[in-house]
Amino acid sequence: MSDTSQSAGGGLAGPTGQPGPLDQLVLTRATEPVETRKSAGPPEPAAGPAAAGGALRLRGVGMDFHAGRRGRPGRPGRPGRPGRPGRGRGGAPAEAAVPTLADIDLVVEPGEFVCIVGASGSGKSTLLRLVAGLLRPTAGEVTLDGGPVVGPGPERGLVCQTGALFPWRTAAANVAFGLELLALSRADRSRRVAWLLREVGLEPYADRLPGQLSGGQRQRVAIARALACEPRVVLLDEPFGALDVQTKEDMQLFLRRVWADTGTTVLMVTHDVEEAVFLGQRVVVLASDPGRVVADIPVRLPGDRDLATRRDSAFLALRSEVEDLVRLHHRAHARRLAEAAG
Amino acid sequence: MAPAPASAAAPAPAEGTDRPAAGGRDWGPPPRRRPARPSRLPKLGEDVAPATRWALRALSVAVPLVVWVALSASGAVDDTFLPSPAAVARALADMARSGELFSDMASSVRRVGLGFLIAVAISVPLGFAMGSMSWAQALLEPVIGLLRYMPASAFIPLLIIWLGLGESSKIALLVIGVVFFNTLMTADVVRRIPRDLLEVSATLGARQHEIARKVILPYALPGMIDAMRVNAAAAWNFVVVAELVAATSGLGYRITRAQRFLQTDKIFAVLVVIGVIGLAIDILLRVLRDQVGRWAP
Repeated sequence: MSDTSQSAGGGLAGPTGQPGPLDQLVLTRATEPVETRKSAGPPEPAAGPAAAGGALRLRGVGMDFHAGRRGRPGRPGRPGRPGRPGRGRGGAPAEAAVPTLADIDLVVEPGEFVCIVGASGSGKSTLLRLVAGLLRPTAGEVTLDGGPVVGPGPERGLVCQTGALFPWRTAAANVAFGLELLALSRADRSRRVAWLLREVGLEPYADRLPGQLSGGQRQRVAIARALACEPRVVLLDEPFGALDVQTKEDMQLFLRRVWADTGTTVLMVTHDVEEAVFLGQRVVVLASDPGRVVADIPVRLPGDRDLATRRDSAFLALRSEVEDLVRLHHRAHARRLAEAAG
Repeated sequence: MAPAPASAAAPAPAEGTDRPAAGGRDWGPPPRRRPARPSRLPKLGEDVAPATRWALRALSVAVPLVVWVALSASGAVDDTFLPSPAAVARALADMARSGELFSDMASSVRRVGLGFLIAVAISVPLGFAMGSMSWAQALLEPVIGLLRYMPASAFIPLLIIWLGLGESSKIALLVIGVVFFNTLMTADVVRRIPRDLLEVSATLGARQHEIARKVILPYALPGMIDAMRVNAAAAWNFVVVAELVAATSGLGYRITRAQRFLQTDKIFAVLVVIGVIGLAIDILLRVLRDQVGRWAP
């Protein structure tokens, strides 16, 4: 924990920071061969497992946004725009850079279900977009199965809060979108789509347009669509944030079942601590200014969780622990904001 | 709560105004307004009954028609200036019988069709590029924004010098009148695509050209047809303008001919035909839009 607070101080003092062991990595381009990074790489983070085959790996990932250039931080600009540390675009001085994420180390093993929680402004969504490849980190690197993440791709399926369904496509056609881009026979494609629609319980709604579906059904379609290309990891960005409480509960049980059925890896961002503890095998807590990992808590609850789990004392204790952490860092963030304002 | 009604009424206001100010507030409660009087008129944004709607639609055509009939029947306006509906109908029938109406319609419609098609073929790709790529926007918007404000009719003398009095100058006028507006309107529609749709398509493995074809195009198509509808009306205006200036056929030409002989009934008849053809084009495009954009609210 001490090293995270140190790096936070460095991040706040100035973007140049203090030279550390990660400076090598900062300059590493994602296109360089993997071997180079391995030999020059820093020691594994404490949370990292001995096995090197982590599905998804973030090493020293940092993300700066340039204040006043493109909206507020956390609402980053274009996908695929490479960030460069040390200077802004057009030779602008670097002091405009606002660190949104700093020095994130995270490993998600294949088949794991990891939830990221944090108050608003902690850069949770930015973190997910970095993994999705919609943003490029200004420092560090993101790798999947040892290969660098250089852009968005079907091996990292994304589901966002609104679902982002194609409104002119029926539920089935939405699910089929990613498959249409692949060399699959029509029969093969429709077999896969039918299986997915059955899996998410939307068989009778296959021919409905998104506008004719409820919020929960739309999210089911979005999840099925992300799963269609059988991604190595599914990225969920507050997928149930816009749903009512009862629907949300259904969707959480549904998601646990889909995860068990498909054996996929899930990285989910949420601000709902109860949801994170209920769903995840691990809960990662982010703090703000800059966004950094302050805790990585294993959830020791039975594998088959149901609504009774939520009343379990172990569950409640864990939930309180995570809630306190999030609250603590949220208040610290609010205090810093108030100091900066007056 | 047992006291007499007289005393029960008194404490109520006193309780509101004499309440000690809480939290350092030194003002009383805000004034209350009496509720609005119930009204029989439909509320803002409220639907009216279908019967009422149809009645209003009928009135919308009937009222001007009745005013026209009344004006010409009363004799307040000379027949030369305002021919009666009957005279206009007669003129229309005459023109139809001689066949000139249909040949004029055909040449005007052909001009509109060709010119509008060319304008769409230029403006849709340009607008698509402007709406989806910021470099195209930066490159094209200043010049198109400027050209758009130059009245197309002001180009007529130039076009006659450049292209002569033939078909090409009329079609060029139509293209100039439509192409810039349609480009900018198409660009606006394309630009409205939600960013998360683009992002999610990329994460599903779509390449740039696939995103353009499978995401942006279907999303923008209904809006593009809407833009075409608006600009088809403009195209129809410009063809008549072009024919007024220099032509040997077409509905605009027929108007200038009729003007020379003071045949206002004929002018009116041609105006009615122009209006009806325009309406037909509009309805056609609206049906197309509703078919294509069934998903859009």
